[in-house]
Amino acid sequence: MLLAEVATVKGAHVRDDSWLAVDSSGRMFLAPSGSDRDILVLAPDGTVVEGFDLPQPDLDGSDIHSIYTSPKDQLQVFDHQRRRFVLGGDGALESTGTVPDVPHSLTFPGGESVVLQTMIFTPELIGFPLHLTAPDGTITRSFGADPPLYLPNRPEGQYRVISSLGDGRVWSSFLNQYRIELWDTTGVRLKTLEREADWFQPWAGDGADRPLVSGLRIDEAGLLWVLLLVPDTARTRQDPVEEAHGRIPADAWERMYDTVIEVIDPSRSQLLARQRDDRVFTRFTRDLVYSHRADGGGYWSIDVVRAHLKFTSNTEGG
Amino acid sequence: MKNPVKGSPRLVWCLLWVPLALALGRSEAIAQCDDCFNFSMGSTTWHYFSDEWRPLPNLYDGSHQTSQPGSCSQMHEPCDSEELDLEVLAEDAAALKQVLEGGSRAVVFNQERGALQLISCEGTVIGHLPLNEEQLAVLLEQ
Repeated sequence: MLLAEVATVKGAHVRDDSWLAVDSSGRMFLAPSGSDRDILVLAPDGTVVEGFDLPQPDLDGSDIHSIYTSPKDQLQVFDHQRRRFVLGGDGALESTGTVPDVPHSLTFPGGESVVLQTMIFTPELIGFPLHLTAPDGTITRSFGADPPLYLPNRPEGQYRVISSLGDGRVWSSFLNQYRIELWDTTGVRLKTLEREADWFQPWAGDGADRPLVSGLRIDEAGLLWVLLLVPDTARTRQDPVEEAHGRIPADAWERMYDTVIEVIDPSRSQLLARQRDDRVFTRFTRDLVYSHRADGGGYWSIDVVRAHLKFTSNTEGG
Repeated sequence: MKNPVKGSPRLVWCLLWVPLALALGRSEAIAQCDDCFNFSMGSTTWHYFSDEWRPLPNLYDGSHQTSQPGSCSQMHEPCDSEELDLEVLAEDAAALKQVLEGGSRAVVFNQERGALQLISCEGTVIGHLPLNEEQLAVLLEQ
């Protein structure tokens, strides 16, 4: 068994694009997204404990884009104005800065910097998917592609999901191919893992009915956890209904995909475990993954699940 | 071979339009627009690129197809850059040279990165294709 139910987060504050992040004590933070700038603190069982607001709540277009917890249990919040707020666990503001763009994925490579996965459209940086970024938002190095490439008619090739143990190295997976690379933050590619699977052929262009890598985590034991969305063949596929700005609502994703979670030992290039779930999990926060579910009547809930390896012991003799 | 420029008649029209415009004196009217992305003064066309104005010997810009002389808004109309395929263009040395030597603002050669870059109508870099040694040699021998 790989997946164990942890909590179900319910209530009017839950929306289909709410972000969740968990700290080292199991306390969760929920950003309802949408037009709000409030963050809710949840107990490990999913109940709301308290909430706090980000500063400058009345700026247009400044609603929360995403939240992450750092290894030091700081909360890193990005809004749509490309600002980053670093908050203590009590919600106290520690620093603010502006980043070049909001991240599609983010990890902490060690020290005070973060690595952002985003596209930066300047003559110097276009084509690099990863950006080592100082606390003030300054990019100190861009890397993650050799050679760097950006083709506007094939943007799916630019996305990565990333994870780091804080040792100055970053694991980075493509979205449209099952290819995971290990980079150091000086920009050197150290390793490439390529999983050959009939059910995941690299693709370009229209991603409908194609698998994609949606999340990646390197755990303390050095094992890679990969979240993969695969077409849901058990149900009648319905074309998603796009909302404004091309956003596809969570229930449409749910109809389109199942999730496969795989665990890989990168030192031996060996697949250790695999499990399929009919829900859609799109990111890791520590060892948790979560999935939005429509409860009917316009309400949403979030299933929070722990992804872990369960070993069975079969010791015989001395 | 695939045509490197989808909608190539439009490209031809653009390349022809600029010298015509200069000859007809439209350039002086355009130059009065402070916020225009491109403007022409005398026989030189200027292009706003990466926070600075640079002179270009010629201009390829679909926005010039509109016919409202002196109007700033016309300068922000869609141009052809989004219809160019960098990969196809890179494989066609003659077409690439023609576009670059024509003073295109849709495609530039970033020599420092050894790559072709595609520029949107608004001036943002929206494409980046590193060139192989053979492709680089063709460009650098110019």
